[in-house]
Amino acid sequence: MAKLTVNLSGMEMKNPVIPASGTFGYGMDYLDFYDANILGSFSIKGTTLDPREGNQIPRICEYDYGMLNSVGLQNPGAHEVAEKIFPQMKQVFDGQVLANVSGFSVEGYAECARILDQEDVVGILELNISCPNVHGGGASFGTDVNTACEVLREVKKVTRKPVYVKCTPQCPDLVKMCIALEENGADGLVLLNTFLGIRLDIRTGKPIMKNVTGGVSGPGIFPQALYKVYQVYPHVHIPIIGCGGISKASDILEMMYAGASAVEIGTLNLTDPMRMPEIIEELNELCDNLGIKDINEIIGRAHR
Amino acid sequence: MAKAEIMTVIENTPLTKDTYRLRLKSDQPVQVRCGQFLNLKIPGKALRRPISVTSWKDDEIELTYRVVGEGTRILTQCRDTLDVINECGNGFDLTKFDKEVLLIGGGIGTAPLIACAEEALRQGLQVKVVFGYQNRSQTLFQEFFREKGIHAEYVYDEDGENVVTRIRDLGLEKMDFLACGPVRMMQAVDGIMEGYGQFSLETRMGCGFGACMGCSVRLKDRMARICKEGPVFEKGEIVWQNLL
Repeated sequence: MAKLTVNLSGMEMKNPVIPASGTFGYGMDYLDFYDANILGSFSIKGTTLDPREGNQIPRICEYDYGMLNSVGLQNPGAHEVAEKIFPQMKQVFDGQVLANVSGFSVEGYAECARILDQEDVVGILELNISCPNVHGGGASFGTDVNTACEVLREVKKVTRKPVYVKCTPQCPDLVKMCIALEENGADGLVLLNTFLGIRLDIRTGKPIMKNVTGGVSGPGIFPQALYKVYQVYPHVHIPIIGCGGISKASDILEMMYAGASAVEIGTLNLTDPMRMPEIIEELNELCDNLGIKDINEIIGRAHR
Repeated sequence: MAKAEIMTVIENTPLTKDTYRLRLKSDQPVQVRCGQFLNLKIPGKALRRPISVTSWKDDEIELTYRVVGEGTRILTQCRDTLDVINECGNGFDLTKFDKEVLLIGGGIGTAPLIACAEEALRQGLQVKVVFGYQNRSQTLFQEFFREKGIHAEYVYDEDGENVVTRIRDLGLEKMDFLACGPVRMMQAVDGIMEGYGQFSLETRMGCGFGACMGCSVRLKDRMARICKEGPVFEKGEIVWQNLL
């Protein structure tokens, strides 16, 4: 049995497998399928300061190798999450989670982070900077280095927990962004959020989703996400969580070879709710077959 | 409780030009309720396809599906086993009915109402039926009602009629009802029915068990996931424009 335990900025995990934000709710939706305690951790549904109802349906469509979503950050708001949902979550998960902090203004991010910072069950604040900045013409925080770093600095002021920034592939120069985020105090990076995409109805010619565009995820984006991790890794000294289209144990190894210290898995949970226990088992076997004694040894192997 | 399992395909045959009967066998007794759905993994497709239950007995489930796109077309070729998530959604609640129930269905939305008819008969309710289709070639389940001795009203768009006009003609507006069909049909039904009722909704779903929030809609007083809190909601809860 290989050693699969990893440590992300002090957050101990049994293995490097983390269901990604937005695909795992607050942990309760998978109770019918398996015990969440087999997981390294999970990232909670993107949480904003105020409750949000999200976008109109249809919010979902698919392509041959995955799906698109435009849920629009539906969530009950940081106060309700902290007061009502976290106590339930603690009943089903013994470890710590990544609290995905989303927002539409610098102040909104900081206040949301301050509320979630006070919770023991939160091991890492995961800053989702893919959201549009309502005060900045609607452009995503994550596409502009200055606004992304401003959000990060303000969040860092209100928390002592590690802050990992979840970047968007829409960022025109991701390496430059990640270097700047590290300089501005990021404790880690999550690479990446979904790629923007669209599908059209074959009968009407119109967009399928009410919101027109959505985030592309699933196995079809794996090589691109892997490449971004590979590209960024040599330029930063903070841990990277690799995320994007992982569907099997060998994908986890590739992500870690490219430079990831752990991985987030999203769409796979939705299409195959039983896959996490299987994939952790498969990861163990694969490491044994490849003679990997400690999974931490393989981080960044592609660059050595 | 949602349950992932591999089921054996024991029948997958056409009933009309574009609807199929799919019978699946589990390795254990089936515990599904009427109005619940199975989420079927389709070979070569990323997302599952939610299909409501037509009937069940012991370890077998019968589904009826219409071929509407690539996924359901591939499904017609499935002959061996299917990876399913069973017992999805809340289902209809027949305990809310007293003495009688009117089943109002349109198109493939008539399929889950067959399970309701069986359940209603088990509970000793008197069952009335108004089913609508675009044309006669799409007609489903007439044999079922003949066998059960239930008089079912069938109406067709090609005759310039629909379930709403027939309900009015027969003066059934005061009956308590269950309905499933196209959104505009259900909206019109909601507009004329005066009693208690339940509607079964559908939309594109991501996971089908509540995790992705991909099918959440605004009801009058809350947000609800069609796959988890639904697909069945009570009359008076639904804001139809949010489904169009």
